[in-house]
Amino acid sequence: MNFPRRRRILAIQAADCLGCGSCTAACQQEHDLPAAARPIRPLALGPWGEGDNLTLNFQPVVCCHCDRPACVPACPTGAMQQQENGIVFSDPALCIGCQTCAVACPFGVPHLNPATGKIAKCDGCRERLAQGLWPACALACPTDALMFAPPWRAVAETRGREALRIAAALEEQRE
Amino acid sequence: MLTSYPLPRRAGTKRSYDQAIPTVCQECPLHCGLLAYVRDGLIVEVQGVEEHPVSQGRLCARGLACGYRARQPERLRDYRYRPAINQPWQKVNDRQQLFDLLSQRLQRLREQQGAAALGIMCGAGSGLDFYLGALRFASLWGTPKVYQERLPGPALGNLLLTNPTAASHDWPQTQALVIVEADPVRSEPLLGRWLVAARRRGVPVLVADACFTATAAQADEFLRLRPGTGNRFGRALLQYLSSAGTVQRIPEVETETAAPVNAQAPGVLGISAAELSRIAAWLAARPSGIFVLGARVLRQPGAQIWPQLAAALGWLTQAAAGWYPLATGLPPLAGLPEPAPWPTTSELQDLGALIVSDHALLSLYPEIDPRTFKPWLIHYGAFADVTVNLAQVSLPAALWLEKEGPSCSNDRLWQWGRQLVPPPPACLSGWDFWRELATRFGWQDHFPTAVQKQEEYWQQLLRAAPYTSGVDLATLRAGGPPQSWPSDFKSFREAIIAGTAALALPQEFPKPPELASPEYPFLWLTLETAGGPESEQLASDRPEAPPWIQLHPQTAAALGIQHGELVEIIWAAGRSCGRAGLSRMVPEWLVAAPWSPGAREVLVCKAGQDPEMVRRLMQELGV
Repeated sequence: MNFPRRRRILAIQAADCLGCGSCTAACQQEHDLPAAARPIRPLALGPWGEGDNLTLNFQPVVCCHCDRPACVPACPTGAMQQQENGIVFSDPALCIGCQTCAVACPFGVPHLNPATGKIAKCDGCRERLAQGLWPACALACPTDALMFAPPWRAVAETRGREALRIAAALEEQRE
Repeated sequence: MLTSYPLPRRAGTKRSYDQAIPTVCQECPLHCGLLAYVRDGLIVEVQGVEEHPVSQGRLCARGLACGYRARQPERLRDYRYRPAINQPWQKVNDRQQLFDLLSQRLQRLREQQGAAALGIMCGAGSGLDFYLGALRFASLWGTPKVYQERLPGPALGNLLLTNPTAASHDWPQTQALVIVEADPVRSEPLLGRWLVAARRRGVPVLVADACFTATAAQADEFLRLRPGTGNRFGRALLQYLSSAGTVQRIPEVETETAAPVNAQAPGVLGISAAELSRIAAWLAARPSGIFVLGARVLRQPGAQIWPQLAAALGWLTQAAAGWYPLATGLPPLAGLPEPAPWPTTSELQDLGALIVSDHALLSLYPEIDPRTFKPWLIHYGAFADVTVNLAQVSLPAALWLEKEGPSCSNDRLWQWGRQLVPPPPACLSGWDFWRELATRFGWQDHFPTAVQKQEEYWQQLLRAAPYTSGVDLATLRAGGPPQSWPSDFKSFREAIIAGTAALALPQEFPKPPELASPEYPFLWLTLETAGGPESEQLASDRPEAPPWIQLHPQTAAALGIQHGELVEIIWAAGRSCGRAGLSRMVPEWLVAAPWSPGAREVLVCKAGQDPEMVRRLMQELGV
């Protein structure tokens, strides 16, 4: 598939996620979803460990917008589609709520919106993107764990943050 | 030197709107900038204000959901009254009728027990207009008993003035963050932004708390304290540092009539003396740092130990260092009576009537037993919470987004909150509530209706004190940037540090908490959640669902309790039931919930299980 040169991605820096749920609330507001439908949500991993030596991490879980999405050919009505810029979305006008896409998805991402009986999944905020705006979840994230940028910029940002961490650790060691 | 350039953000909305109103989110005391898109009197979208110095365009889930919260079906929209708390609520359609009844009852109380029999408790969520109205009404009425959740009392109020506090944006610039009995990531989520920024810059973070929290998950070290021992932990650190000669010797701290705190450490604090000395040595090695203190610490006696400790460590003289008390930031207002010290539980019981806004009562006095609560209670709030179960009158409140007025944040920033949508018909703003009541006593002239008049009064109060005199509300109202108090913080801080105000050691400390007895082998921790103690609907509207309580999975396995199963909570004065939520956030000996049974020591068993068997089992397990 050919992607446009100005393609942007939603990069996730899970180490910075606090599990605050801002992304979920922003997404629900943007798409008028009820509380039970959460196309993006922070998954709590832990606490692991023994006694007081515990660790708890959060992993924001959202549609990967796969290059070759399994959900698109699986959809019997053609509701699940892929845009030219790579965004995979479900058209509510065509969706019959059969959840075949949820079964086909290797990550089990699509799920049912109980209020409408249709699939609620991340559509990459394609309407916002068309207006040149950031996706709602990335805009609300307090710690910038969600970054919306061209791939090279997202990688540079991640490297920069890691470099900062290493520099700080070295400085600490030197002290 | 590493430099990073922030990603260029593009904010805005795809929806059509009539107005984009910038205002201040007042869901928590951090007061982030909020931009509301409004169409036909409804909020269609909410975003952060990109230029805001604290939130920088971000918003937490609570801020984003403020519009939904205002439209929630659970919201209180009716005036309600009941002759006694064991009787069902009656709806009162006529506001005049309810306020007449209220004023008659208060007048009778004044004649029988005197003016001081009335107490007013202002919750943080009811806004400054309610607090200001309460102060005005109380001065006219003649009672000094006005308590504000964000002013923990004169001792700490003055300390906030004489010991400059750090700001949230100082966190990444400091050398150590010590967070005591607080979970800012959950209570003020945007503080998490500064916590992560601090961590990215390599600032070591230590969290001391009874419960493993979302904030503790971000820390380099987690120290498990016994619940309610935060201030004693501070004293033990200072005592250790003083006796070791690491900081200037403080004889009053070293000589204590009882056994030294650090010798009691394992029993009282729950940490070993060796661990305590290690932490003390680690703190002494840091050139600067910030103590972040939660409301549970600040409301206990002895909270003054923290600026004392920061001063002893030399942190108060450093930039971006000192202490950061959460849920405070309100200046003592000149020209008004000194904030009254918080009453003890027995003093509270001696009041004839108590007007409580929001969930102030049970968030401050979780140990109150509803069945023995004596004062006549009037609740003013937008949502029903456990306080309503004790009340005989319930008045629906307007939310912050339904009224206009100034706000003051945890970072000591004054801002102007705008009205986004009109309140539901029966819901009163704090100021209107007091005006309605004052009118019954002929004091209506003291409560002008126009916002300009209220602003003038606020401005007059702020001008009267040197530290707030530079705050100009007219500029804020016209859309100016936030203004901090004291206006010239740098000189204020330098003047303080130069020794214009001496630090006094706290006079009283809380008693060491009881250790769990074999009869009641679990300690109880009341969690502070986003909305205060667990919200529940008016008792007459809905049968109470058993609330969740957090239990360690190993404890639950030993007692044969499954996740979600009904459990019984037994304490010396009673029993209740709940649903078990298995979580490793709590240790084996602790149970936690966002509500309180009114006891510190409890026994938890499966519904229908023999409590004696559980006691024996716990003894065998050594919990």
